[in-house]
Amino acid sequence: MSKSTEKVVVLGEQFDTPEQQDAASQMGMWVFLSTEIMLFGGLFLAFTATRLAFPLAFQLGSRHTEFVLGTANTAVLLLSSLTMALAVSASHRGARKPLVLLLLLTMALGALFLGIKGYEYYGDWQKHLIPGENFVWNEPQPQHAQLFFLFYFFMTGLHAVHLTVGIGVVAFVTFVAWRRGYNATYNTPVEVTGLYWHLVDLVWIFLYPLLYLNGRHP
Amino acid sequence: MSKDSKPEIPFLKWIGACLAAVFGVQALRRILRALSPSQETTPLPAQGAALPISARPEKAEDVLMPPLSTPVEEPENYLNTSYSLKSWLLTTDHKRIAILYAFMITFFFFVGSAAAALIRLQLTTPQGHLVQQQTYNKLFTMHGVIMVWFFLIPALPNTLGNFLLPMMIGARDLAFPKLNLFSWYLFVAGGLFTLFAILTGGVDTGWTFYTPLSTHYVHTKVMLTAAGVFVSGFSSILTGLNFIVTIHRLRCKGMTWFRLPVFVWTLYATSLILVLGTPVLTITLILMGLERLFGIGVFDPALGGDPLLFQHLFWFYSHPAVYIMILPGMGVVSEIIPCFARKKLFSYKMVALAGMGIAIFGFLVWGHHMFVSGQSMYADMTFSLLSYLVAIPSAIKVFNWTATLYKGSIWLSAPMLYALGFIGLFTIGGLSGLFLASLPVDVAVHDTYFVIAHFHFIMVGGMVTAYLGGLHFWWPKITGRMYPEKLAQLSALLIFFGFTLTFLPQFLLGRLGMNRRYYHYAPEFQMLNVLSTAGASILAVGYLSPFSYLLWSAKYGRRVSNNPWGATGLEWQTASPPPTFNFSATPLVTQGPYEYNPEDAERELKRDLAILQSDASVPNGARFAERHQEAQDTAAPTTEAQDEQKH
Amino acid sequence: MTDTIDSAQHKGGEEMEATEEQAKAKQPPLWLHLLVGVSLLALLAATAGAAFLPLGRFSTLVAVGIAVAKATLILLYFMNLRFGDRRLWLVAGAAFAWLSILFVLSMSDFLTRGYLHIPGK
Repeated sequence: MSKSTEKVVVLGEQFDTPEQQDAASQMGMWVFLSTEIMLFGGLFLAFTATRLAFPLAFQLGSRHTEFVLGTANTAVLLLSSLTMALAVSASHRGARKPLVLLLLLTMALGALFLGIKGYEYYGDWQKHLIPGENFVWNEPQPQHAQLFFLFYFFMTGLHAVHLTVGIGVVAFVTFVAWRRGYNATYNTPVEVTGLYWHLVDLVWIFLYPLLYLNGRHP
Repeated sequence: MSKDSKPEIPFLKWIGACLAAVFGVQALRRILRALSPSQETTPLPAQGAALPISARPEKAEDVLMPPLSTPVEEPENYLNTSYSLKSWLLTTDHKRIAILYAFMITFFFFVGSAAAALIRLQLTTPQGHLVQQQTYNKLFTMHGVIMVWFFLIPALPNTLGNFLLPMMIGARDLAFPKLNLFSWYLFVAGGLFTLFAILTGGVDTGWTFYTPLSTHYVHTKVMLTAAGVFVSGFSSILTGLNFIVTIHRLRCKGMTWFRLPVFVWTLYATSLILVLGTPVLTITLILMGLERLFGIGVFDPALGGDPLLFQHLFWFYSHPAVYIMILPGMGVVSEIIPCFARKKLFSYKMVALAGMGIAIFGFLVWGHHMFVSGQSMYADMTFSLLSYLVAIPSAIKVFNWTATLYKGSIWLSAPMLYALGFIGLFTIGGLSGLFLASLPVDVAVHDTYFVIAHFHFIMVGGMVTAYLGGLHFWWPKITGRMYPEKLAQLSALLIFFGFTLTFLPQFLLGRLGMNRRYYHYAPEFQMLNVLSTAGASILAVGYLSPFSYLLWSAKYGRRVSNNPWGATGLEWQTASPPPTFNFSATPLVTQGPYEYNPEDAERELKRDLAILQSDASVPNGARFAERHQEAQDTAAPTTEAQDEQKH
Repeated sequence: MTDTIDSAQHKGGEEMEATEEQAKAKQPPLWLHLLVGVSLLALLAATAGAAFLPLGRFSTLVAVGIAVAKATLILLYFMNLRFGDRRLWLVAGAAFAWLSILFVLSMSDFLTRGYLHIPGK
C-alpha cells in the first residue's frame, strides 16, 4: 500500500486488506440495492395487477399526467446518472477537482428534478387529482382513476424520498472529496453512492413509461 | 358487546403471569445455587451432575484435570474485556451483540409464551371462562406477532448465527460490525413499538393483518403493531445483508464454499430470504398503513382494489419467512449430529445445497395459503404442485441426517437428544405440510387446528428444539462453562413429550373440524383440548428448566476445555470463551467441516477408560470407568460387533 | 448460481485474493460513458415518440422494452457490472430473478381469474 492510502483508509479490524474492505462495501451496497429492487418491485406488482383490472381508467389517468414535465424530468435524471458515472471515473483517477465539480453537478440535477416534480404536484393539486374528498374526475370510472392517482402519487413520492436521501449522501461525499478525503486507491464511498444514485434513476426509468406514456396514442 | 368493554383486566393477568414466572425463576436459581456443589473445594468425581455417566470425556486429561481449588485468572476474552454497561450497549463485537439479542429474544419468547398459556387455559372449557372474545382475539394476535417477528425469525440467525458465523469461517467479525449493532437497536425499537401497542390495548387482526379487516373494520392498535413489525423488518434486512457479504468476503484462507459448515450454508440461505423477501413485506405494510390512515387505498374493495393483492404480497414474504425460521435450525442439527455420532455428515454437498433449494423453492409456494380465499383455480393448482417441491430438499436433509447416524459412535448427550427430537418432530410437521399442499385436503382442513398443529410441529417442535439444542451444544463455547448434563437430558425429554402431548391432539381436533381463532368450541372437542393444555403445562416446565439451569451454569457451571465435545469446526479451535477477535492467529483450513471418525472415537474411548481404571490417583476413577463401560455396552453393542466382523 | 459456487470451490482460497485485486475494477473509458449517456437520451426520445404511435396493445410492450434497454445500459456501464466483480452479477441477478418469481406467480392468479366462470375462483 502506498503511503497516501494509509493516510485516508481506516481499515476495519475484520478485514485483511483495503481491497477486501472495498469489495465488501461494494457487495454490501449491491445487496442493499437488491432489497430496494424488491421494495419497488412489490409496488410495481400492485400497480400492474390493478392496471390489468382497470385498463381504461389507467389510460385516462395517464393522460392527465404532465407529459412534457415527465419527459424533461427523465432527461434530467439520465443526465445526472451520466455525471455521477463520470464522477466515479474521476475518483478512480484521483482527480479531485473534476470529482467535486461532477458531484456538485449531479446534486444540482437531482435538485432540479425535485423542483420540476414539485411544480408538477402543484399542478395536480390544482386540477383536483389528489385522491380523497376533493378528487374531481369528469370522465368514466372515477373510483378506479383514483386508484391510478394513488399509485401515481405514492410511487413518485417514494422515488422522490429516495432521491432526496441520495442528494443528502452525495452532499456528504462531495464535502469529504473537497476536503481531500479520497484518492485513486481509496474511493469506496464515491463508488457505492454512485451505485445508489443509479438505482434511483433505474426506478424512474420504469416509472416514466408506466405512469406517463400509457394511453397517449389516439 | 358490553362484554368487550374492558379488555385491560386479562392483560393485567398475563403481566402477573410474567412476573410470577420471573419470581419463580429467581427462586429456582436460588435453589439450584444452594444445591450445587461449590466449585472451589469439591474434588472432581463427586461432581455427580458435572460428570454423568453418559458424558463421554474426549480426552483423559479432561477427566484427570485437577479441580480448580482457587479461581484461576482467566485469559482475556470477549466477556471479561470490559464490564461496563456502555461497553455492552456500544459494542461492535458480534459475540456481544449475539448476547444482547439473546436477552431480547428470551424476553419476547416468554411474553409470547404467556399469551399461549392464556390461550390454552381458555380452551380447557368449551365455553371459555377465562377471557372475553375480543381479548381472546388479542391474545392469539399477540402470540402470533411476538412469536413470529420477535422470536422465531431473529432467534437463530441473530443469536447463534451472529455468535458463530464469523468464527466458523475464520473471520474476526462480521463485515459491517456497526450495522450489526444498529440492527439490534432497530430490533429493540420495533419490539418496543409492538409491546407498547399491546400494553395500550392490543390488536386483534391476527398476525397476518389481512385487509380490509385491518384497514377498515378493527379499532385496535394496528398501526403501532405494524410499525413495530416494519422497523424490525429493517433489522432483518441489515442482518441478512451483513451475513451475505461476510460469507462471500470474509472466509479465511482455504475456507472454500464446500468446506463451509452446513450451519453457515443455512445462514446464507436464510439471509437470501431475509434480503429478498422482507422488502416486499415492508412495502405491503406501508400500503396497508396508508389505507388505514387515509381511508382510501390500493387494497380497498370500495375503490375496486383487490384484497387478494395484499395476501399475495404478504405471503410472498411470510411463506418464505417460515424457512427463515426452520433453515438455521436444520443447520444446527447438521452440526450436532455428526459431532455426537462421530461420523462425517452423510452426503455433505447435498445437505448444503438442499438448504439453498429450500430457500429458493420456498419462494414459489406462497399461494397455498390462499386456496380458499378466492384466487383463481389455475393459481391454486400451480401453487399446490409447486408446494410439493419443497418436500424434496427437506427429505434429502432428513434422510442424510439419518444416514449419518448409521454405524456412528453415538453419544446421547443433551444437544444430541434435542437434535434427534428435531428430526422426528420436523418429519411429522413436514409430512402434514404435504397434506395441506394438496388442494382437496386443504379445503377441508383450512383454518382448523390441523394447520395449527402442522406449523407448530415445524416452528416449536422443529425450530425451538433446534435452538435449544444449539444453545446447549455451543454453551461451553459461549460461556466457557458446562451446563448440568443430567438436568439437560431430562429437560430435552420433558420438552419432547410435553410438545407431543400439546400438539398431537390438535391434529385430531383439526381433522374433526375444530376451527382455529375461536374463543369457544363444541363440547365434544373438550377431551382433546384438555390433553393439549396438559401437554402445554409440561412444555412450560420443560422450557423454564433450561432457562434456569443455563443461567445458573453461566456463572457456576464447571469450567471446560476449549473443545469439550471434541468437535471439528473452526469455532472449537479457539479459546472458550473466545477472545474479542476470535482467533489468536487467522486459521488456515485444509479439510472439510466434519472430519470425524467413528472407529477412532471408539478406540480412544476404550483407551481413556483403561487409563481411568488403572490410575489409582483418581479417586473413584475405576468406579466411574465401570459405570461408563456399562452404559456403553448397553448403548452400542452392535457397532463393536460389526467392527470385529470387519477385521 | 451453482456455476459461481463451483468455480469458487475449484480455485479455493487463492481465488479470493485474485478477485480482490480485480475488485478495483477498471472503469469504462470516457467515450464509452458519453456514448451510453447519448444512447440513453436517444432511447428516451424513442420511447416518448413511440407512445404516440398507434401500436395498440403493443404500446406498453414497446415502452417497457425500451425501459429494459435503458436499465441494462445503466446496470452494465454506469453501475459497472460489465467490468466489475462477477460476484456482483449474482446479487443483481438474484434480485431480478426474485422479482420475476413475484410477478410470474402472482400473475398466474390475476391473469386467470374468472376463466372458470365460478364466482370466487
